[in-house]
Amino acid sequence: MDFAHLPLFAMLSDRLSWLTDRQKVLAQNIANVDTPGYQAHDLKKLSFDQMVKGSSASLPMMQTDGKDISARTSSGVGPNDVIKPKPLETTLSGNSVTLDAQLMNLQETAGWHTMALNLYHDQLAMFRTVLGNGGGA
Amino acid sequence: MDFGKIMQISASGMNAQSVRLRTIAENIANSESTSTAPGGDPYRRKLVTFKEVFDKTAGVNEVKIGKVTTDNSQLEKRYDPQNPGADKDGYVLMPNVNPLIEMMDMRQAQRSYEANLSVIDVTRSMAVNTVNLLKG
Repeated sequence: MDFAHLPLFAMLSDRLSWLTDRQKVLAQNIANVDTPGYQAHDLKKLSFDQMVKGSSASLPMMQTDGKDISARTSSGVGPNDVIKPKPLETTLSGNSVTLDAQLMNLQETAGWHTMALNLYHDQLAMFRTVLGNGGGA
Repeated sequence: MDFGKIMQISASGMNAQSVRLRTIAENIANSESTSTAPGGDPYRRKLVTFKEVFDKTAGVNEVKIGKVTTDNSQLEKRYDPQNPGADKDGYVLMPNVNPLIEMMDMRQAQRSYEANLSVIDVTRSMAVNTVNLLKG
């Protein structure tokens, strides 16, 4: 059994990688808070609709030969696109990073990351309960 | 691992801000440095510029220190005939360092530095949480 093919795990792993990518973009924004002409970036929101549709559509294609391209192991969302949101304010030097907003996003992302990890953990605990391995949440 | 890249970005920001702080310290320390030669130029305020640089190996945009330029604004004259740097009329050119501006600049650098530090802090706790999945 491959965990990555289970819809919930695929969704969680997509979510976690999206959160890490967003954290990277936010770190870039904060590092460039005093760079003239720097425009703040963000990631396109992960679409839950698309994730649900992508992961429960049909049975995934299986690999029947070693040369086959691996069947999808993600929930079917595209790459994490970097967008430029409408700036809240721009300084005279053309910098559009607002430190407080960026720090708020940062904490928010960290919170979501904890939530996704906890869900992952609890889901695994459920598996262990089923396996009767003395697990349990 | 991506967490490492995030920390690399923040570290570049902290490095840039600390160079800025160092320059501010230099400015404040030299706020009374006049010329020793009669009629010569005193210390001029230094300015740090930042620029965004793409790191090819890590694939991230970091921040680097650009040119360190000097502030070429008007110098103030002070009447001090005993000073070795005084011209024939007894005036000495003073450095164009305004302590108030330097202090404000310093607080801003400090704030930006702390912001980068908190990114590292948050990222580290994210990484620790991930590793804690191993605890089962």
